[in-house]
Amino acid sequence: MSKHDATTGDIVLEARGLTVEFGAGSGVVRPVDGVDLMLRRGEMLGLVGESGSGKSVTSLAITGLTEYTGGRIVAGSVRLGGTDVLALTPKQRSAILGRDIGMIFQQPRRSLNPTMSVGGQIAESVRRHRGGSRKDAWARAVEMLDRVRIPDAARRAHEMPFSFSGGMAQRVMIAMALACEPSVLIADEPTTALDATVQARVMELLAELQHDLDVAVLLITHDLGVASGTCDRIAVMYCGQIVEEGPTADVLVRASHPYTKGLLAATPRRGRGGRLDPIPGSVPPPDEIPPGCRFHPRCSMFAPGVCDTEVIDLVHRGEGRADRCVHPQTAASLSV
Amino acid sequence: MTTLRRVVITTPILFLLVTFSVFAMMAAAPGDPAIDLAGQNATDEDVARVRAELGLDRSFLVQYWNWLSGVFTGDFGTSYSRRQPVAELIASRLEPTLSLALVAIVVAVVLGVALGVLATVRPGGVLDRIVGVVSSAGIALPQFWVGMLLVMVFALTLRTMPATGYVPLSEGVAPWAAHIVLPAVALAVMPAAELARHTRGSVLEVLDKDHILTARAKGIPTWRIYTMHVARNAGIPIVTVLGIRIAQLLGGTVVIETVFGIQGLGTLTIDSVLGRDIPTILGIVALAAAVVLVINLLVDLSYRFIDPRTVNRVAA
Amino acid sequence: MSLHDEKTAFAAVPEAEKLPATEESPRAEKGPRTDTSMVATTVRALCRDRVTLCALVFLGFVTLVAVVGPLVVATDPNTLNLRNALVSPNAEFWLGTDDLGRDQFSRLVDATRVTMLAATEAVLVSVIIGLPLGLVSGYFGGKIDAVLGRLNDALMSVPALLLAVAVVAVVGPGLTTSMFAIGVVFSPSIFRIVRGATMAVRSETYVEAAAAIGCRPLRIMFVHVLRNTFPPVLVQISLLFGIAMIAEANLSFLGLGVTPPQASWGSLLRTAFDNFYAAPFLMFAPGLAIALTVLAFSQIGDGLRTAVGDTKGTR
Repeated sequence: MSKHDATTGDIVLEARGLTVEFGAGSGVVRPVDGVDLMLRRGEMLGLVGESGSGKSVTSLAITGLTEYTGGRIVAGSVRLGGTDVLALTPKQRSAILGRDIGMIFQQPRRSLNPTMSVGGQIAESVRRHRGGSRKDAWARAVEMLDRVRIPDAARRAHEMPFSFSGGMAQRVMIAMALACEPSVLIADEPTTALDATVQARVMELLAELQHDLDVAVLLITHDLGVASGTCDRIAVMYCGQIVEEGPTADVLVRASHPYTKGLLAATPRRGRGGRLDPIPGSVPPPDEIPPGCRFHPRCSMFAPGVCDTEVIDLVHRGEGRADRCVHPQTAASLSV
Repeated sequence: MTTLRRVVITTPILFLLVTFSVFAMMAAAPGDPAIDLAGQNATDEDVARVRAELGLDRSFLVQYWNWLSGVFTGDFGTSYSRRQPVAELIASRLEPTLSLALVAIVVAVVLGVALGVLATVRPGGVLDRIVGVVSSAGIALPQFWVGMLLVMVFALTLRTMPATGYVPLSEGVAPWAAHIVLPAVALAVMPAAELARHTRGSVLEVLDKDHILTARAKGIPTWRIYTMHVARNAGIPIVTVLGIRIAQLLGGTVVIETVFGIQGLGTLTIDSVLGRDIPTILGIVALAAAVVLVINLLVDLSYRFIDPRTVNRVAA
Repeated sequence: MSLHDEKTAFAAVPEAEKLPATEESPRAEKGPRTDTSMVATTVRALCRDRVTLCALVFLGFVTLVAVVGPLVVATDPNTLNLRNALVSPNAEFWLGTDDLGRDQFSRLVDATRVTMLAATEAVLVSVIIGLPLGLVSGYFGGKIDAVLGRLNDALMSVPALLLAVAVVAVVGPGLTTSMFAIGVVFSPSIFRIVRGATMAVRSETYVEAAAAIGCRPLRIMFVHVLRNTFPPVLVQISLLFGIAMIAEANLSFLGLGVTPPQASWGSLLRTAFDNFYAAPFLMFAPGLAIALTVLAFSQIGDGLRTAVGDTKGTR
């Protein structure tokens, strides 16, 4: 379902070597360790991983918001259209957030100010970045609500978030994030907390808006199914590192990293019956990262002396593919 | 408007409850006011006469009923010790206490909320710790001791402000202010400290919420996050505490008035309690009950103003 | 799954096996721990913070003075010596003398016991009243809860001082009675905490589970509820001690507390006030004694609060 060739389109967002730390003294942990990400105009990149992989922290780090959740960015740069977002002062950054990057979160009803009308919250963003009168901002808010298909938008704009269901609230969030026509939208698990049918509709809306507004979307999710449905490219994260990336179709069919293969085997898919195979073992806690390849304790391809000694780098293998495995698997050796 | 209805129903009940309890307590008290008032050398007839005058020869319930019906016509009886209508007595002492209380409330709210908010800008930082120490100290110091300290510093040593007394507003704002500053500040220190702590806690709790992160992701500047996104959400717990503190502050006026020699309702209360002047005590209690009820009503009403969600349900 | 999950709690089960979360998962529920381990952990946690440790040591010192002081101090606190009235602190009278020539240092030591006992009385009264009523109200709910709750609210809105004054008016001055009144006024805060904790425990699934396997409900309630109410009540008690001391100071200052010649820290302040212009130094020692002790109590209260896991308290 790729609309763009992986190598065309301008790069709108480029993160390099992103590293985030939490805690102090002997309790320092690194949920994100040397992450590179690239977004092209109009494409949707899916950042996939289990809970604890560091994907949400990555999304916060890109916008420099980790400082509000107790984290420190210790290394890396995030170039957005020529500016390094992380090198800005918080005040300068606040001018960019909302205007050039929009963000939506996992729990839409909790992510909205309960004491402010939804229209007011959208208008607030518009007035912040575009100035203008209250009336114009409100009109734009109603326009966006309509765009995300909230019925009776003009009236509902006056309502408080508590009168919106989860799916509706997420639409409001999308409207708010896109109100100032940013070039990038970061969606952190936008459908995880929603019912399945609502999930599908919201993803549909997201894809549609992405196309209409030519917005690059970074979709964070734990669900390979959701990612495969709408994303042009996928990056798989484990223990704070990207372990595999590439065009969606390619990754799904020819996954090279054992972890990706494990995720695929554990994901229910239509037309594929039989048992789901969970990956043995569990995600290591942040203070007990294994040496060498971080996945090696759970890997069926583990080779002692090779996988557990030195740091394994992300290797680019051409055609937009990359992985972090010493013996990457080709389609021939393992069925999927 | 369920809040209003609820208040309209409970207010008279509480009023009756409180005044009746106090009346009962006074009646149960040992000693006989008639004897006290008739004097040292009174004969039995004198005492009986005084008792009849004061209506003390009737039954307990009748006495209460008489008092209550008097209240509706504005007659709170006559003070035993001062031979003055209670209503008049209370009215004459009202202004000093009112001035003191209002100025202290304003000082406490402004200082307390400001310090509490400042402490949240960088939690764990220098400002936060200073506010913490200052508020701990403020809670630990008896108000009258603070008053005495203030007098020592400002009145005795620096000689900038008068040490005692009250000057009515009618004699000019400047002298009134000069005399009210020290007592009001002394009274305000403890509620300000409490308020600072509660504000800090409440604001920190809100700042931790998801919708604040959304606001940051929208690029909303910090000052606006505080005014538009934190204030209303943190407001309810703060206002609740404020209501309780204000009620307690009224109790504090008793002590502060003593320290600063202010002839207000506080000193009147002590005098009438020690002098067993029951009508005056009842009058003050009735007034205090009314004030507390009004404060609760205002707090309840403010909930609806702060957080629109409470319109649909009874305020917690 | 929120950001906090990423940081603090890596899922043990691969995400693919879990049902999608529809709500942020609650913090790991800690069932009731054994009493000894809870006490040990709490004490250890308390001692870890240096300031709290200082506060504990200071309180220990004050208690020591209260118990042993009067026996150790040489001068009799009640000896009048009018020739030595209002003497500033010197080698003989460490804290000076008051208008009746009494040595302030020995009076301060003597007053320590009185003040500490007074505060203890108020706190005990508040717990004796608030704890059982809170248990009953939280357990039975319904009408009983409604009635008790309203009474509680009414009591809460009464300014403590005024109630104490009213009680004194009826019964006559005396530290015991006035601190009893203070205890009554404090009981709503204990009531509320106990009621809240009781209600929380009552709806816990492990109570249902225990009942399902046949434990008698009353026994469950008693054991689990007490264990769960203990920590927050302890926090409140330490705070109440401080407030009680201030209340005692206020009452004695107004002449409604201790009766002379007995001294409490509050009555010493009254003496200081009466002699304010002649001997301003008199106000410092008792004032500082009160302030430091109250600070110590509130610091311990905060330390306890963090030690039992409530980190979002007022500090």
